[in-house]
Amino acid sequence: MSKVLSAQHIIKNYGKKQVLHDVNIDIEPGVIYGLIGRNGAGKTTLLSILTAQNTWNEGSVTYGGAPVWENETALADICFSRELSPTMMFGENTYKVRDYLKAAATYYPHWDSAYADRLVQRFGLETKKKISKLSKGMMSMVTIILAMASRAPITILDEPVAGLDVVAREDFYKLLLEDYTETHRTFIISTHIIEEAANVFEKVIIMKDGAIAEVAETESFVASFSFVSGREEDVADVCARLGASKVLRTEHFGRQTGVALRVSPSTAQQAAEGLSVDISPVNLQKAFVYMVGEKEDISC
Amino acid sequence: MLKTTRFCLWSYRWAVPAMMGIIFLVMLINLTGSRTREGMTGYISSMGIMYLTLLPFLFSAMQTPSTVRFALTMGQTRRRLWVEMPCVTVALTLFMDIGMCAMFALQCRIFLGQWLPDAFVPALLALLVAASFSFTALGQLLGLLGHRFGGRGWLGGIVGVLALITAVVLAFVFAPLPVQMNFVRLFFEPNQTLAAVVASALGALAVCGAVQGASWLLLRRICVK
Repeated sequence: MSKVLSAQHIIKNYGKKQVLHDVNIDIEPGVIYGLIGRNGAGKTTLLSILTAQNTWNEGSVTYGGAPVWENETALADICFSRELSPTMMFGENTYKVRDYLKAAATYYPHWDSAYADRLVQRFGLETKKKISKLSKGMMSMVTIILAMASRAPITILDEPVAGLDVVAREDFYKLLLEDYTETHRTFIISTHIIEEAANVFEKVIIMKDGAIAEVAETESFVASFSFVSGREEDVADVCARLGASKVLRTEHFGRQTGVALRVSPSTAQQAAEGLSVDISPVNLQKAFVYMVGEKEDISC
Repeated sequence: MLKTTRFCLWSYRWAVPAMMGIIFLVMLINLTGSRTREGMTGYISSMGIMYLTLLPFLFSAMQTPSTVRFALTMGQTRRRLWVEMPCVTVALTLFMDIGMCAMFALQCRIFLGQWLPDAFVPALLALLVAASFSFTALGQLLGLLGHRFGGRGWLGGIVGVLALITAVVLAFVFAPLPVQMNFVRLFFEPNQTLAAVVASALGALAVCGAVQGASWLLLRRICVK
């Protein structure tokens, strides 16, 4: 359980287009990571490279110091539960749920059948149904069951909550924390539904345009952003005191102006000494949007 | 051990008998007309020949991309998959051949009143079984091409296989007469049965070996995006 999954200087091209640019990341054991990025940022490509399911052009991927590529020992410790596509007419989609899980039991060396059965019961999944006949939410449940029951020391889930209703999502996060408390294994969860998962992620990996923009502890990452609003002149003063490089985005609401800053609320507070502005912390979703979203002024 | 082979056999445990059942029904319908005994024999034999070659080829081509994708997404290495490919080929071909031969015998029993046709030639059956292994292997190669290169792979693979079959047929047609006669004698003279079986087995081994070599070229960098 103490092995580090590491990717160094990964470059990946699809034809002439470079989709990953010099990606470096160390996945530490016993941590729940959230992988967030916009559509097309390279999240699934990175995950498939980390699990040696996809090739890469330059760089190296190692697990416990040994290359992951064609390494049976390393791959036995990693489970990448991919998002099931409702439009795919071959492969996994042609299987019944029970057959799909049985196949997983054949392949994954740490597979826990009893746990898989319990999860099927918990989610109320119809195992006699073909995967292609399931709703998007049900498909997500299948991928969750596969990931959890694999009991792999490094478990990766790609969009596990896509299509799940709010109750099922809550149940998933609860389940994840239960499992994590028990096994303390590593999870990497790629998701677009950020705010709900913010309390679950210990660390976040932010991807932007095929590169890792930041890897940080969720709490400290969120605490490094603040939002300052007030009269335009006062807000401009705060920005001037902190430096233009700290300004991530400016928004106008009538006569009021707001700026998202890459400084902690306490630092912003010090800079706003004597000015009439409101300073508020931001949540993970907002922090992510400010970091990877458009930089220009937005008028509301 | 042999995870992918077990997975394949188990996955298609109903699909293969179902295909056999459909073929059986189709043949049953076609044979209930007013056919002569010779006509029936000819029809059952020609269908047997076609299904022993075409069916393994198509089935293998269709299942290979799914099998590869499944194995790779579930943590198998490409080398492990490559090592298992011949086992998958042998297992699926045997599964289909046993079904096909049983069906063939059953048709003969129903329509001819005996388990085998009068003109049954064991050496020819050996040739057909060897051909079924070869075609399964070629189907595997086509499936890999399709998985690796998409539409271009499927098209190129089909054209390649058709070209190969045409080349073999043309080679026989344009071979000198003594060579043709030797070939016919090998498969139709009863005292040459063992030689025919060995020749068939060697031919199948050569095809499967070539396919296995080509498969590695495709598999070693294959990926699931």
